[in-house]
Parts: sequence; structure tokens; C-alpha cells
Amino acid sequence: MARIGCWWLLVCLSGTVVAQTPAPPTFWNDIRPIFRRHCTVCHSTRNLQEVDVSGGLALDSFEATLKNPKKPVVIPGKSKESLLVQLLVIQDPDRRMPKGSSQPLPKEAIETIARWIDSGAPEGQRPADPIAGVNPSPRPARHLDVVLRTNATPPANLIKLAKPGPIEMVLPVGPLAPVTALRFHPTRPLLAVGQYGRVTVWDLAQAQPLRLLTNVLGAVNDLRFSPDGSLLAAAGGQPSFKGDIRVYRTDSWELVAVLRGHDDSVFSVAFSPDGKRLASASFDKTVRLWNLQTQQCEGTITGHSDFVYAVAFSPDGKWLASASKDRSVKLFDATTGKSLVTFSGMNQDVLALAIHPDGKQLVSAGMEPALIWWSADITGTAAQRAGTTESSFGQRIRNQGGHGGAVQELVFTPDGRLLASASADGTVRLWNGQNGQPLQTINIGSVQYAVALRPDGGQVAAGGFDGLVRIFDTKSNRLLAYLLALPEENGQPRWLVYAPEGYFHASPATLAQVKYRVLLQEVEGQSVSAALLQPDRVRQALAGLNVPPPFAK
Amino acid sequence: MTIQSWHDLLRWAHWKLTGALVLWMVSLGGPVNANEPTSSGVRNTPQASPPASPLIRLEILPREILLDGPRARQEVVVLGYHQDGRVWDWTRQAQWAAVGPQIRLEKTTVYPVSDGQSAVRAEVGGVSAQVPVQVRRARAEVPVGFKTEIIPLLNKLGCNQGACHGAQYGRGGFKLSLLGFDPSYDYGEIVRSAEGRRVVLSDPERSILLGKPSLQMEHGGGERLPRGSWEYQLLKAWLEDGAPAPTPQDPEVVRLEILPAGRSMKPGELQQLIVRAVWSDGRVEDVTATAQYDSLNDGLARVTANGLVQCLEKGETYIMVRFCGQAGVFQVTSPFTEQPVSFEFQPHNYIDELLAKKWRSLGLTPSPLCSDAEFLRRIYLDTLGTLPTPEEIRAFLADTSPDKRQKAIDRVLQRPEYVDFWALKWGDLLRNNSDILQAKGMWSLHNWIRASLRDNKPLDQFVRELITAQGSTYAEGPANFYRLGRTAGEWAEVTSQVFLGIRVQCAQCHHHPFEKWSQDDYWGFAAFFARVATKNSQEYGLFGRETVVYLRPVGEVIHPRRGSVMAPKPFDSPPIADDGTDRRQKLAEWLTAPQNPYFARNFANRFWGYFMGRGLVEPLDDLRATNPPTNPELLDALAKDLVEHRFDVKHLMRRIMNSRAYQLSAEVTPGNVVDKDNVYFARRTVRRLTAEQLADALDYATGTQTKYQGLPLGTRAIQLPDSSVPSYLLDVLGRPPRVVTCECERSLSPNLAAALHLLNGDVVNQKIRQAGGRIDRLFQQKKPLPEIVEELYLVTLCRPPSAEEMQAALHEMKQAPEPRLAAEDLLWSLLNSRGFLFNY
Repeated sequence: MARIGCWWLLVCLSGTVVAQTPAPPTFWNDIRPIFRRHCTVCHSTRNLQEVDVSGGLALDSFEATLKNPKKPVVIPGKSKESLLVQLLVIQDPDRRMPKGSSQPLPKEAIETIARWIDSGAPEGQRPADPIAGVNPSPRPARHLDVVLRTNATPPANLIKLAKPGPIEMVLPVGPLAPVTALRFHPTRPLLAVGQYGRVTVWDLAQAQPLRLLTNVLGAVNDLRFSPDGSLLAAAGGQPSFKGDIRVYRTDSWELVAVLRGHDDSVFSVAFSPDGKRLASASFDKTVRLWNLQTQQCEGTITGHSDFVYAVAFSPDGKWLASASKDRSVKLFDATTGKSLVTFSGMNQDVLALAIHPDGKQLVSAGMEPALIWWSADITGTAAQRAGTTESSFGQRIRNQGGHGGAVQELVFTPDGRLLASASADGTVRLWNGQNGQPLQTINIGSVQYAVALRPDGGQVAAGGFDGLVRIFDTKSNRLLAYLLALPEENGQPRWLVYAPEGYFHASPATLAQVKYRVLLQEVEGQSVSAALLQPDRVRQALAGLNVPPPFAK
Repeated sequence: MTIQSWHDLLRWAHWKLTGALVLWMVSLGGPVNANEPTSSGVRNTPQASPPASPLIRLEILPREILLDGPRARQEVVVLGYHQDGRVWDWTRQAQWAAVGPQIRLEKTTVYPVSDGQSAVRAEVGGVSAQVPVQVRRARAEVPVGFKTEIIPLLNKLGCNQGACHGAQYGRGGFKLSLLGFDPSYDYGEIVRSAEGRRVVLSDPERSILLGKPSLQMEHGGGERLPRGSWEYQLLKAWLEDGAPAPTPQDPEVVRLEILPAGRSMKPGELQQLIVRAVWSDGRVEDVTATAQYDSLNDGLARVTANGLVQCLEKGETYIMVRFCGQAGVFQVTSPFTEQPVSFEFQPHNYIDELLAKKWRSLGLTPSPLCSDAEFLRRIYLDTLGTLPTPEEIRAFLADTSPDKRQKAIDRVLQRPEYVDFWALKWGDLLRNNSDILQAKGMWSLHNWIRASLRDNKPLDQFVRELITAQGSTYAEGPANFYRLGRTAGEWAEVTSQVFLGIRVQCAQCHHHPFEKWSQDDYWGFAAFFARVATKNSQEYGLFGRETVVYLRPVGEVIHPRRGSVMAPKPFDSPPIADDGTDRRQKLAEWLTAPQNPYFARNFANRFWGYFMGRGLVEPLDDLRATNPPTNPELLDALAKDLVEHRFDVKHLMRRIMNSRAYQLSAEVTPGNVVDKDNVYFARRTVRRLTAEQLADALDYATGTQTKYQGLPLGTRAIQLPDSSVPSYLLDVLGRPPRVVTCECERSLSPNLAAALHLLNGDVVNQKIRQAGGRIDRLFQQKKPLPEIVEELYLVTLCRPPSAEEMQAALHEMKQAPEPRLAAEDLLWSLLNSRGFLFNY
């Protein structure tokens, strides 16, 4: 009965085809929107492995739709014989697609699909931009003021105000893109800063950007320099669509590799100690291993059941650790990808992890803000397996509380003496890398996503929601400088760096936009600018030297 | 039983008096009369046509408009008043015009253009009306507010509903607070979590927050906001503003204005609603587009997502409107008859006047008065849970004085069974149960309740003693109230539900989905109990090992989300200053204050429901703005009466029973058949006897006694202090286990086990035949057969048999091999008849 019904319907459909088609529908133009509305939440490439969701069929690209590995669902020219159409018109609601819907697809949609197949299933013009149809506006319609507060208090007569007060610099460039990744270069005085759509490489010695890299896919969620400093890996992508890792040479800043394959943005990346491999962790729930020579994916680890937020290589390069929204930390063999152990017991997402450079301890934290130290002494396990010694492998060593909000990133200095953490509670904290005891709490106020330690442990850089990078001295807890980088406008670089004392350095285009305020009143800029625009003072501040306050007599 | 009497049995069963077998099964399923018109299934209500009579004037709603801010808008509606008295919503047909360039109109929505004074004008067939419009800050830079604009939008789009991102673990890794009641959490999830994965502030249209629900990207929830729609633009504008976060200074919605408040409509008629939110900063905002609408009765009226109401059938119902934690209703009334009804109805008191007013407005006609026998049975069951004796029935029927009903009411209220029956009710409400309270606690509470009822202790005093109780639960009856829970929150829930009829449980974890109660309300109320503690005593008290309820000198309730200490705060009132004395004293004062809008209404509704078979608000213990009473004026009047008579429950009972409405027959008449569930009380609501009433009535009719475990022989079911006393019969008839605080615990719904137990079970048969039982006694005493028949009728149906019934019964007895067997069969049939099983 059902079959007769559906054939009858198809005959009718074919009838209409002849009657009223001008141009045949194409995949990208007509079919993809229908699939997106009704089918591809389940039938997508990212769900291919989850057979109970996708049934092994993806409909989110032309290739996947026509070349289903199991069995073709579309036979060009023959809509009646195409399984795709048959499953849309079948009467039995348990078998009919879309599943879980009491209603079949609208008649017009089925008609269009049948018409597309009957006209040979043409591909049509593939849209350039993945967010179909959106032409990203180069800039939002209006700009909000970004207020940069300083401690500089000019004498009242200089600014012609009755009451003196600290200077504020106002830039109409907001909202700033949050800072989502930070990393110091292992040997040179460079700091790489990741924000949506760009990576800014700052030369801290010169107190100005060295390079602005904009050839990224979208979000930049992690930045790593290779151990020898010759490469920079930037991980990111377009959320919920695809992710990649881009590798740049740090001498020419040339893009040397784009490692594609993740189906969602990549949240974390790590170099192997020999610098030859990369591991990446993505929202697509996988960890992937990449060979930098061949630029190929060597393996996909699917052990996590939810977003993977962080990945790290052990100092000997033999194993990997990853942290996930599935509330676990897992250790994998870096060669085979085999799971070694799962650290569990957390009640919420694990967002961050760092392996101690001695390779024997691992720290994780996340939505539950306590830092958990784990024993990760693999050699111990081997011994235990041999039955010779006791091992504490995989045990919690300590829980170290302190943060009042989710911990977003954890990082050790290469010597393992210092551990830094960035948190949604608006603080960055420094911890003793040996015993985990708290050392310093740096209050910033805005949610902090990223933290980086200078390899010698002398400075810590932090960035987050407010889009500013702050650099602190780790000994004194003192704020040294703020860095602010914007996308270029009309080919003009736009950036500004300033010390809390008020000294600043800025690109000409940005300088032209700066306004000064005291106690919310705009003040005449020339005299202020003359006193504050002092790149050398900013360089000194960035070097950790004390600078005298401006406007001093 | 012999085969022969099985035949008899079947014959009896078909006897017109009873029809028991069939009727038992049928009648349990719903109202006794099954011949009401069914309206289920297709309802393809056509649109009604406008009144033919001339249009006299138009009225635009709202009557004045203030557009404040660049995104302000106002929906307008125009009502036409016609000569025949009808009102018609002309909104969609009227010619609308903006007077002046300060505003623009898109269909029936007014938008600001520039600051100044303007007006909107509507015209229908030569009749016109206009309302002033003031525009302010039309071009001001007003950032989009997360709490005031974005959360309502997410609510309206359904993003945060329980099946989507509002689920416990969210959806697709994205979790929002259920129904948007935790804006700061939602803000963090949307803007900050996963390094701001969901938004690109520097390039808003790149945000998956926009891309997914507009289906530019795959979205499990489908298309929620088409690209370019005003919802999309608003979300985008918020991102362009840098996604400003909610702040503690953000205003709250304090109430909703719904225009019009209610309408009398014909089936098919449409009415567009206007909903305005009044914010705590005084701003009044049109939220017609973002409010959520639900019909409380889909069969009577339906409503679109934009607030267009269509009346579907005759009757009365409400459209529930929700916005940002506040809720309100729009009343849809569609009279049952077109013509005005006229009926003879001599009101006895205000109850009758207010009911009759409603009947007239809806076109209902009350049923006639019930017979004297029905009346007597009714007041005995409702007040005493007991059937009247044959002597009492005969005396009442023989009485010819005009005020005999009134006197009978006064008499029953003085009977000792009054204490038994209402102690049972309070035992239910206070969950007196030895499993929880131990036997000694159970007895102590039971005895206190009985003593209170004997003294007719006013309700306020009764409740005050419960709330402020302390000491040993074995010695102090009311102290057992604090064993109904273990935490301040549980005590707050029980207090609120039993004494106020407010179900506040939801608000423990999230804002009540259909009410204004927030977590602040819940925890503020719980703070009254913050210092109550219990301990097990081994050395203290007479009995030892009892639980002692005491007050600690310190103790606070912490808001689970905010982590802040909550000051004790009654509902709808400012927090109460803590002066170190017992907070419960203050709570009791507030609870029982005459001006407390909830306390008296709650009890008025409950007692109305106990006597009338159905509350003015149903369920009885779910009073809220979105569950309005079917006769609000009457509920208010009953509450006022209760307050004015110092919470004297017997006074309220007397008032209800003396009303003519209470004394109406259960007969369904053509004039009130349309009110299927009898929500307007134009006749008596028939209900099955409760478990205890029925068990006692069975004992009484068969002249036997059931022995309840642990209690002396002769203890009746209505006298049981404890729900843990084993009785299969009571359980199968729906005795409440007293485990949860809810009127719904007592079940009167039909179940097969109960039916079979009564029809086929040994219990009834044994009771009928028992030596020393009624039949045995009657035959021992060698009573004449007609006397036997009459007595059997009087002890079951509480009326003498009709001549026909008598004749038929005597005939059967003569036919039977033994008259006694026939008498047994007669009693069996009577016990399984509607006339016995039901309270009518």
C-alpha cells in the first residue's frame, strides 16, 4: 500500500516537473537549503562516525550526497529509484525521513528534490563563504568607545580644568575582540596574541607589533611556538563548522602549513618535544595527531565523548594528555593513540591542563575551579605492571583551591618552577610549580581566557574578554603594560601599547583617534600627548624598569 | 451463594432502581450524566461575522501611547461598540493612519520616528477615533539590554525551554537557564563560555548565536529567527553594542497590563491582545510581540504566538500571558445561550446572588432544589462523613417547619462526628502518619487536632499554634508539623501549600514557570524557618527518644545561586526586620492577618470545594493568577466572610450549606447541561463517597463493624487517626497515604480494583450475611417484610422506597426460596447502586 502511494505521489510530482520547470534546481542553490533545514543536523560529515545519528549518510556537501560510501542514495536522472526520495515519501512514519517528525517534508521541498535528481543532480555554484550567504560586514555599523585608564594626573592648569584627575584615553574602536590565546616566544622577546580573525606578534623590546597575521580561518583559540622557536602554530576555526591549525615560520611569518580535517574549531594545539609532530584538540570531540613533515593527519583519537578543550605532550613525547567537557582527563599513547588512563571524578567540564616539565605530574582544572594535581608517572606504571613497585599513577596528589570561577588556561614555565592560571573570576594566579602552593593573585576584573609565562618566569601575560593584553612582573605582581591591537584599516596598522603610568606608544592611525578625558571631561590633547607619547618609557616599562611618573616637575 | 441466587443477582442488577453494574463503571468515568453534547474532535470554527447593528463608537487601546527610546513600539487595537451592545475587534479591518511625521505605522504597530507629540487614528465606516502618541528619545543611543530585551526574546523564540537549551545539560554543548530566569548565567554561556565561541563581537553576523537559529548553519532546533527578522536585528544590535552584560541595577517587571482585560465573544470571534510590561523603573513597554500566550482550555479558545485570540466554543476560559517571570490572564466569555435567561431563583444569601449573576451572564439555568431526603443525606455526608439513621430521616421528612433545613444544618454542626470527620481531613492536610511521626507523635497531633475542632478553634489560631510550635513531638501535638520536612525549604513549601494554596516548590531551583514566584521568594520565605531545628532526645521529656523541635539562636538561609543570606520575606511583601525574636511568630502574624490575600481565600476555596464537590479554583490547592477562580467575586466574598467572622470555620460551613446553591439537585437540566464539569455550580456536583465514608457506610448499612488494627472495635474509618492503619478496602478506595502534601493525594477516581472489590469481593458479601448483622437482626426480630425493605432503603439511599420499588422488592422476596436470601440480594444491589456509592 505504502509503495503504491508513494509511486502515485511521484508520478504526480514528475507531472508537475514537466509542467512548470524553467531552470533545473542545483545542489548548492536549491537542495542544500532544504537539507540544512530538515536533514543535516543529523546527516552531516561530522556525524558520519555516529552511525545511530547519521546512519552513515552525510548530506552537507555535494560530494557526500552523491557518493555515499554505503549505498548511493541519489541516482541522477531517476528520482523514483533514488532512496533519498523514497524515504521522504514513504507512508510508514517510523521509516519516513525526517525522523522524529510527525510531518513529512513539505510537498514543494520533495518536489524540488525530485526535480533536481531527475535533471541529473547538478551541483551548481558552490558558495564561497561557509556561513552561507553572509557577507561579513568589514566592521560593525557603529563603534563603541574603549576607555583606557592611566594613573597619569596632569596638573590642572595644563588641561584647563578646575579639578585634576587621572587621564583616560578614549578610542572609538570597540567592542574589542576578546584575547583568546597568548604565547611568549621561547628565545626572542616576542609575544603572540590571538583574537578573532588575527594573530598579532608583538616585539616587546620595541614595544610595537612585529607582524599581524590575518590569514586565519576565524577564531584563534590557541597559539604555540615550536620548542626551537622556528614555528608558530595557530589553532582555531569557525565554530560549529570547521577547524584547522595554521603553521607559520617565525623568521618570515610565512604560512607553511594548513592542517585541515577537524569539523569544529580547534581549541588547543601542542608541539611534540622534538618539534616534528602536533597534537590538536577540537570541539568536534577528537584529538588529532599531525606529522609536520608530511602535513598529514596521522591519527584521530575519539576517546572523548564531548568537546576537547586542551591537549599537551609529555616532556618525553611518548604520551599525550587531553581535557574535555566530558569531565575527564585522558592520557593517550602518542604513537598508537591507545588510551592509557582516564582521570575522572570531576563534576563539570575540564577546560585546562598542563603537564609539569618533569613529566611526573599533571594539573587540570575547569568549571570546578580547584586545581587538581595528578600523578602521571608513566614509568611507575611500567614498574607496577612488572609487579616490582607500588605506584601512585593516576592518583590525585592535591586539590588546590583559590579561584572563584572557571579556570580557562594553565601553563608552566619550562623549568617547572612556576605555574600560572587564568580564570573567569577575573584573576590570574601564580602558583609554586613544585608544591602547588599559591604565590600571587593578580586581580584584573575582566574574564581571563589566556595566560602565558615568559620562559624565564619573569613576566606573565594575560588576556581575556575585554580585549586587552596585560603584562605583569611575576615577582612584584606589578602591572607593566597594556597591549591593544586592532585590525588594519585602509592598510594602516592600528595598535597601542601603554604603561599604567600613562606613557604610550601607538601607530599613527590610532594616535589620530585618541581622545583624552579627565573625570569624564574631554581635555585638549596636544599637551597631554606631548607628555605621554614616549615610546622609550613604554619600552622601559615593558623591560620591567621603574619609570618616573609623567608631568613631574 | 447458590446458582439460584446468582440468577437473582443478575436480575437485581438489571433492576431499574440500580443499574449498578453498568452505571458504576460508566459513572465513575465522569459526571453522572453522560448525555452531554460532546465537542471533542474536529473544531473548524469559522470566523464570526461582525455585528449587523450600526457602529456607534470606536475605542483605541491603549488610550495613550508613550514611545520612549529608539526601539520602542506599540501595538494598537480598536474596539467597536455597536448599537445592539456588542463589541467587535475592528483592528484588522480599520483604516489606520499616523497623525504627524513623528511616528510611522506598520500595520497596527506604531514606531517612533522623531521626538514630539503625535497621534494614531483609526476609522471604520465613517466612525473614527484617535489616541495621542508621545515620542521621546527616538534617536538616542540606548544600548540593547540583555535582561530587558534579549532574555524576553530567547523566551519567545523558545531557546531556553526545557526541551532545548534549557534542559539540565543543555543541547549541543550550549546550556541556558530554564526559561531565562538566570540572566547572568545565560550571559556567561552566550558571551563568555568556550572563549566566546558563540559570538564574534567584532563582526556580529559571524556569530553562531545568529548563524544557527537563522539556519545559515545547521541547527538542531530548526529556524528560530529568520535572517533579517526584527528578532535577528535585535540580537545583532545587542552584539554590535558590545553585548552589554546584565547588571544588578537592571529593572524587573513588576506587573503586566493586558488589554482588553476580558471580552464576551461569540464562537469564531477574534480579539487581538495588547500586553504591556510595567518595569520597576516605571517604564511601560509594549511586549505584545515577545509575551508568551497559552490558552487554559484549548477547546474553548485558542491564541496565536502574537496574541490573537479566537473564541471557539461557548463557555468561559482564560488566556495565560507570560513575560519575564510575570503572568496574567485575559478572560474569554462566550455565553451558553444567545437569549437572556430567566429563572426563578430566590437567593438565600450572597453566595446565591453571586452565582446567579454568573449564571445570567453565561446563560445558565440552575437545577431545582433537591429533595429533603437528598438534602439530609448530603449534609450528613459533607459535614459528618456519616449517613443519617432511619429515625433521623423519618423525623426530618415529617417535619413541616419552613426552616427545617436550617435547623438540620445547625444540628449536624453540633454532632460529635463533626470532630471525627474534620480531624480526618486535617490529618490528611498535616499528613498525620505514624510511619513518620511514630505512634506517640501521631496520637499527640491527632488529639490536638480533635481538641481544636471540639473547641471550634478559629483557623488563624489553629495555624498560629502549628507554625510557632516547639517542644517534644510526643507532648506537643502541633510540634509534629515540623516533622513534615527536615529543611527550612520543605517547611516553607508545606506552609505555603497548606495555608496559602501556593505551590512554590518550583521556585526552589528556578523561577516558577507560570507564576511570579522567583527563587528570591522561595528562599525569602524559607528564611522564616532558618532557625528551626529538631533533635532526638534521649533524656529529655516524659517518654524519651522523641523528637524535640527547638529554635537555634542563629541560622540563616543562603540563596543557592547568589550565595547571599536571605532576609525573611513573606510573599508580595517587603522583608521583615529581624529583631532576634522567633521569626515564625512574624510569619504567623502575616499569614493570619485579615489583609493577607492568600490565607482566607485558600481556606474559603478549600471548604467550598469540600462541600460543593469542586473548588472555585481547581486544583483546590493551586491558587495563582494564571489559575483563576470560576467566580472570582464569590471567592473574594467567601474569604471576606471568613475574615469578618474571625476565621470561624463552622460559620463558613453554615453559610455554604444554607445557600440555595448548595441545596440544588444533582439533576442535569437542559439549562445547565452545557456546563459539563459544573464549574459554575448550577447544580449539585456528584462525587463518589470517599474511602472512609464508604467503608463506614458499608458497615452501617450491613450492621457490622470492621476491626481496625491497634484500635478498639467500634472505631470507625472516619475516626482513624493514622493513615498507616492497614485496610485494603480503604486503600483500594483511594485513602491518601499522607506522604505528600497535596489535595490530589485523595483519589476519587474510578479503578477496577475498587469496582471488583465491591461487586465481587468477599468483604461485602460476608458483611451482608454476617450473623448479628442488619439482615440477620431484621429476620431474627421477625420484622414484617415491608419494614425490612424500607429499612434497607433508609440505611443505604437514606430515603424510603417508592411504591414501585417496594412492590418489586416484595415480589422478589416472595419468589425467592427464602425471603432472607432475597433480602440479602436486595441489600447487595443497593450497596452497589449509584444511590449508595455517590454523594449527590
